[in-house]
Amino acid sequence: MKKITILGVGSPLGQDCLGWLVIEQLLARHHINLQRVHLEALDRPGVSLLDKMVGIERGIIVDAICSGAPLGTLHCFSKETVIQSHKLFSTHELGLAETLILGERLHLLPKELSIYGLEVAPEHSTLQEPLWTERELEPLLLKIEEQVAAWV
Amino acid sequence: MSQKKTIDIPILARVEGEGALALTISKDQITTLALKIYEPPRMFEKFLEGRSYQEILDIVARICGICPVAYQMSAVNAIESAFQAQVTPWIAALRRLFYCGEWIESHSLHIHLLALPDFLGFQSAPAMAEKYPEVLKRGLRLQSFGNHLIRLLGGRSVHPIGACVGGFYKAPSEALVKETLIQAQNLLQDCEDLITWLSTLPILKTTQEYHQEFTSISLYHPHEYPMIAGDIVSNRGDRISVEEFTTYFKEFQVPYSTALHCLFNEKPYLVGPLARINHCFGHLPVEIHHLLQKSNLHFPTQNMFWSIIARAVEVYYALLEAIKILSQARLDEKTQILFHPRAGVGFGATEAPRGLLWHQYQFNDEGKVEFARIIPPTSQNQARIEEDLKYSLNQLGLSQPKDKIAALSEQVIRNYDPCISCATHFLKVELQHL
Repeated sequence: MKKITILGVGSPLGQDCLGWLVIEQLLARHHINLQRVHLEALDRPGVSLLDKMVGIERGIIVDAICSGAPLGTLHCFSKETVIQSHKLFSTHELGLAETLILGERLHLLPKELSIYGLEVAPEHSTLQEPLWTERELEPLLLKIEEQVAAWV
Repeated sequence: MSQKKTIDIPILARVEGEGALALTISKDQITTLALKIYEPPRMFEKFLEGRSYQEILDIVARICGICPVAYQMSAVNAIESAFQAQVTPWIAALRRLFYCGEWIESHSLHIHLLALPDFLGFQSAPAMAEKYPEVLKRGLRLQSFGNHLIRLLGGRSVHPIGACVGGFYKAPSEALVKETLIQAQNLLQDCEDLITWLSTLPILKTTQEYHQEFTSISLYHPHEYPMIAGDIVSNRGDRISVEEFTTYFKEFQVPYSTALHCLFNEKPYLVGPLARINHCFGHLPVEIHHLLQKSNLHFPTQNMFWSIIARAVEVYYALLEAIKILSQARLDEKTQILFHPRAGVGFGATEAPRGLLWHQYQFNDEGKVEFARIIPPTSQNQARIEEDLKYSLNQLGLSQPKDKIAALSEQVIRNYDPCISCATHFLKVELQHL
């Protein structure tokens, strides 16, 4: 069983589709050894995200992030940072942060888990389309590939 | 001297969607009570107009992220009724299996992540996790299996794509059926343990006097616990066909909420797991009867705090039903029937996790929708919730501190597991296809 996983989460539509785009691009670039690493896009999994952590030693979650930083800011957080500052990340119950907190308290999370993302506009912004070109995604993709290379 | 008290709960936590409650108490009487549901115009019924019958399932699945199966199954019932198409017993069994997945998933999520934190005095499930890790892990196991069953036939658990008018596009493989059956059998103990553990919840003791008189409504089928077929019955002895729904059930607007209310014979009524169990208790398997007797849990009951028990019983029932269907899988049989679209009107009703979900469609001779009407369970329960709030708060005592009144109000509302996201109605919108 593969012990490293990369999960892109969010809606497949609109600004929330960052996770899906990143998984698509990572697969297309062929820089990651798919024999050792599992890649998957998940449509708003909620607590079902924890199912995907079973047996995993190291993981990356990719999601659109809304923190008030400038649009397009590249974020990288450890699970510990997300869990400790969960008000920053969650806009409603059972969001990513709450799921990670639940997973941590139930000892269901991998020993290493990083959350990567790009800053997006707030939910009610008029900006409805994804903001990123391939060029804009490049730094995020490179960071993820570097992280995985360090683990493998 | 009695005071005027105003209690505002601006946001209801741990319900699906957004709602609020405004309450005024004066001279020891509730003078105003308004359950405000923020339902933006979602226009689904208008979206469906002009669409082919083949598009309906993909559209209605998006009405609710928690119960897409229910919307698809009520839709196929209504469409097939309009086209006078009848599926085979095997396809009907597959539909029940599909529905079992949704009941298990939805009820497990509600019990463990929405209701229990409240009943045990925690702010949230993560807060509850330190003291009750095994309870939550059990809940997550059950919820995960529910999603697996939905994926087995639907292709995915969010907005499934495997169901179609006439059946399913594809049957699961024999290997997957065998693997699923083993998983289901391994979860039976979890279901029993859940019911046994819930029977000891302190809330059942503290609310044991909360018996109310109310009308309840569900489907009833002569041979099976109701999911995808049956007539509509009440606990008062009424029995009507699905086609007669609008003769007896009337929707109306209240000034403080954009979501519609619904009355049966001009009275509020309950739909959902408690209504189903009360009406169809005899249809539950003998294993469940033995367990409930052993746990000193008796139905029927008019105590809404027993809804959590009703949901746990239905999780167990759905698992047993899934095992039965998987054990008797006829994978060499077709999963779709042939039929021809035609002009006509069709009606369909199934039992969503939260209660009766009713659809009506009118088609032209090309099978395009001319008219659609969808009545979800949550809007049917709204008048009943308000009635319950008045009753329950009077039981508690209106002189209680504000925070106690607010806390009980939230528990009462959450008993109904309202899915406020299930919003299908609009108000006089004209839509043009460009």
